[in-house]
Amino acid sequence: MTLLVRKSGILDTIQDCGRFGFRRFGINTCGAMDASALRIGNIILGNQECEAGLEMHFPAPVLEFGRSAAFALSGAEFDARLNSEPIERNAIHTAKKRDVLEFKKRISGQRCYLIVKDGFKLDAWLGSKSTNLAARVSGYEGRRLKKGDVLTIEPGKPSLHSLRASTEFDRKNSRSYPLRFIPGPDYRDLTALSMLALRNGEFLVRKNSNRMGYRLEGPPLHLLYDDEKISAAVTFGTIQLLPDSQLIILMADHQTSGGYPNIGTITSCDLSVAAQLGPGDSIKLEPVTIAEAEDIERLAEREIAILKAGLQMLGAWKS
Amino acid sequence: MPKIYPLGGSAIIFEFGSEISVQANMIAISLSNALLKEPFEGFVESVPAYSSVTVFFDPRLASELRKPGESCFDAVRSCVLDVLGNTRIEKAQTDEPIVIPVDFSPGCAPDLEYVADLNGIDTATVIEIFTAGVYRVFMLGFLPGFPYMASIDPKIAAPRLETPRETVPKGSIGIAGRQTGIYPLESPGGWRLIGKTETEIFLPEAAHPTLFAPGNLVKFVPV
Repeated sequence: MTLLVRKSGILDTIQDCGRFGFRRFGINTCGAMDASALRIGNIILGNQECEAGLEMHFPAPVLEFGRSAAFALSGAEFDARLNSEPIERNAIHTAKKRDVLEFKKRISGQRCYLIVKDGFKLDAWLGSKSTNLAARVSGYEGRRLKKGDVLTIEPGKPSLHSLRASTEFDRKNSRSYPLRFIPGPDYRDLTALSMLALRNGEFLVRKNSNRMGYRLEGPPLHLLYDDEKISAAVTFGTIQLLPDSQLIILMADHQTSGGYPNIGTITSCDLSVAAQLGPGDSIKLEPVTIAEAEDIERLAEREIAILKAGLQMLGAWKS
Repeated sequence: MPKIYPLGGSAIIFEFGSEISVQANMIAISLSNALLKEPFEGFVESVPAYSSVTVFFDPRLASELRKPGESCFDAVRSCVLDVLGNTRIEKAQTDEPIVIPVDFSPGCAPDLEYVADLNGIDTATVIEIFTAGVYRVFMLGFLPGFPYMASIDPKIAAPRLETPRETVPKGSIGIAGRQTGIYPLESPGGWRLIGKTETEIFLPEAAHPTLFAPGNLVKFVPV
């Protein structure tokens, strides 16, 4: 029934796909940084796609199972060990009472998801279990996990035969990752030189990057006009130009509104790539049209749907 | 006819002006309410801001609205413009303002002297002018329940801090230009702090989680 935090990680929070419907009250959406990974983990276990999981950064926690449970790991590769035995991501594992799960080394990526069969037993707030760190509400007591915390797992069917989902979702390491974005209201006001610099430049993810946003370092960018912008809605993936002529990409814990120039918003599927990048990684930004972006998203959704259908056919669980 | 921009692939901004105006704000709020009342297929939420409203949708569901060859963006845009065409713009609220009691003592108002000095008046006058006004909540944003209110008297206007404070106490009343706001939680913040209230404006336990909604009127009184 329970999962004990023997040692906490640097930032472990409960996240589902996010809290939607309340942005107009300033209530930010939160949710998993890598929504694709969360959904894939849930699909593998036969959960609702957006069931809450535990999002872990590295160093990750040491967890002890209080009873047998089926679980999966998705997202980043943190060299997971169950009782010191290495275990794979994107596969169903069954832990027994007193089994210990820990993570030895960050091999690739930044956020790893622990998904348990039927999810964690937690009250939803405004329809979501995502932790709102700024408001200190929801998830596990509105905060990151600490040593001694106990998560309750919903009682589920513990015995599922082992299943490994071979997925193509692991991104190959490349020197710099292209993130595609739909231009925003202020994109066309970039100077000609800045637009070239934006399209051809490489941007480094700086140290002060986190769940709220990624501060980038690259060629300074300027707009043709210097007028004050009034606050308007922004979203996960919105690229803003800050007064220091550098860019910020708003991430999962972003505020609902912003007054800085809006250069564009990154496509949802590329956000899952972005979510696995960290300080020192380098990105390129590629503008795409609305039609192109919609095609990209449709393809990404189709891949997930194919995975889901494939697993259902294998009859790994009864839906 | 609003200016229309995509905000990624799951949202569209409809902009009715580029400045703060009650008229543009009422159009944004009216359209937002109309969409909430009769949501289209795939509608997630609408978020009014000063002079714009952003409509969020689920492209997988909104796909159903498309005519042959249309993108989701086109389909949702047409849908929202139809609703706009059929929406009566609500009149701005004129009834009783929400009263917020404020402690203006120095411990609660670290920037009150700065605001007074900047404008060549004394702190008592700043308080007098500030509490004489009735302010409109144009939008909520930045933090859960944070109200963006305008317009304060230019005689007490003040710019934001160059470097935001790492911690602003919960309940602090802030000024930025001709806007005023209240911090619902302790958080970093760049507005000039001129007082503090004990009134809770973010209510996570309540059925409705915020004290304010766009369109409310607010009055501050000294305690």
